Amino acid sequence: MGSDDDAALVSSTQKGDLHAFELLVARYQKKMLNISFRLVGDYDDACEVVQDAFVSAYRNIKTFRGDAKFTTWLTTITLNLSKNRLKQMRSRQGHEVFSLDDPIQTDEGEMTMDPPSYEPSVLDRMEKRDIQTKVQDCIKALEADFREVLVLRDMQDFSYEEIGAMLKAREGTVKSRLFRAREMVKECLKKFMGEL
Amino acid sequence: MEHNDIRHKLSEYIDGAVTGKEKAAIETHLKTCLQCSGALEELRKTIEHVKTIEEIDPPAWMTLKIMATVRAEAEVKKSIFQRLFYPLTVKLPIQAIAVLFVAVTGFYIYQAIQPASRLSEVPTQEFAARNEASPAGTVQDKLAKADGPAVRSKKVPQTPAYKSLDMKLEYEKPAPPAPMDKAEAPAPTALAKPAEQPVSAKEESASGKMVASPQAGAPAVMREQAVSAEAAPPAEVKQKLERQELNAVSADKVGLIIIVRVKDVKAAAREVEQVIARLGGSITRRENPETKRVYVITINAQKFPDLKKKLKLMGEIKDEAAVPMSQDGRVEVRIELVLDSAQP
Repeated sequence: MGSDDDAALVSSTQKGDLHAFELLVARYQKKMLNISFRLVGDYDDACEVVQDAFVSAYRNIKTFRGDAKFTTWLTTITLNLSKNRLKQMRSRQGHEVFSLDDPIQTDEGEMTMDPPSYEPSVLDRMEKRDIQTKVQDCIKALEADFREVLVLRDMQDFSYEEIGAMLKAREGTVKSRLFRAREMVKECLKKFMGEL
Repeated sequence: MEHNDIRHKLSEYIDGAVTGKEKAAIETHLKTCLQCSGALEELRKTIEHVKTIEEIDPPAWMTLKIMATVRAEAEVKKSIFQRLFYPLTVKLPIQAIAVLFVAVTGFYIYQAIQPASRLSEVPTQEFAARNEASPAGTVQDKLAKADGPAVRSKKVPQTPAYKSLDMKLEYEKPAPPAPMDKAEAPAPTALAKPAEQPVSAKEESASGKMVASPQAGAPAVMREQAVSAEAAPPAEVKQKLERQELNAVSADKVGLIIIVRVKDVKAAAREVEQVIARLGGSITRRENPETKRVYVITINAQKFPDLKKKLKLMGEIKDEAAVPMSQDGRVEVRIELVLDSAQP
């Protein structure tokens, strides 16, 4: 599945072929859902965002000229809708959805973060599922600007140039944000797990 | 590069986004700096953990739900647009023709409305003009005026009908002349005859009375009587002429009869034709009975006295004809060339 194939499907959609658009939906709905989920933090909200994103893409399909890849264009739509949803959620809740200082929900109940420990690594005693939960929580704790560059680069493998185009930011800004986002997740993980 | 600069470049170094020079400097520094080496290692592991996060799957209904919304929107667009314009090759020409038809029809309706406002004036004007320019002239006008306005507006031009009546009169013989002292009686008598025998104007002669009599042709023609030269009173003659005008069939002619007694009818006939031509008259009919020649001519009323003079030179004019009452227009004259049997 390359960008050429996407271009053909987009072209067909622009001519009124709804089946071509359905193929694009099937191809990229998972990717868009994961992006949205990592930004808004809620599965149901992320599903709604993705639906809205694809419908918006269809409505504006004729404005897509093919200067960039279709995934880049679609991700931009998804990012914008996700940010809007996040703002609505914050305005409803009145505070950050998640903070590094908030108690962390685990299967055993709430757990507060412990200060850094110099004890031997606990990675071997913890299951991978726990580590993943912790990583997700640490990503969730990031501010939106840092979260999105981390998700786009480390989870979705977009290039610096593409990320810069989607976020309308210079490449240097993207690199700097990404470094800080990674450093914060590293520190967050070290708090939970000790040495990485 | 400084220690802190290198620490901040480690993220880019992991992604391979540094220049060759920067890469060399970083690698040289990492060989000697344990802190930076440790930080680099932690950073790699962090990125590894982030990349290994499992992706979540969309619900099974998501594609269906998305496409249901998309199809609904497409249908709305299609129904309006498609109905109006598709198929292009069929509907666009039809719609273009329809627009053109409406435009042309509107234009013609507008044009039709404009002249309609003037049409109501035209019949009145035409009717008035027609009356004025009537070929029957004053007689027909008087006939028209004699009728009421309602009747007038319904009247059909009478010339054809009268002409048919004239045809009948053409073959009627004129009434015999009445004595002068009874001129008044015959005139009313003639006038009192049925309507199909209209009487023309009566001429007043210097030497004798004239008797009005019906005559062939459209106008009634008066016959001049010889011998008695008793002139009718001018008022009486005028009244008769007015009555004759009213009864005239063809409104523009007042006929006269001149009888000329000649020695040689044939020669006189040739001479009469020349005189008529010189005076601008036109011969409308010729009659050639055994002993005479008859010409029915039309001539300008002003030329009538000249005609009489010429005819007097040819022979004895038995009937003196008066000057036509009207000096305008043309008059019809019946010239009879009769063999003078009294001459040797």
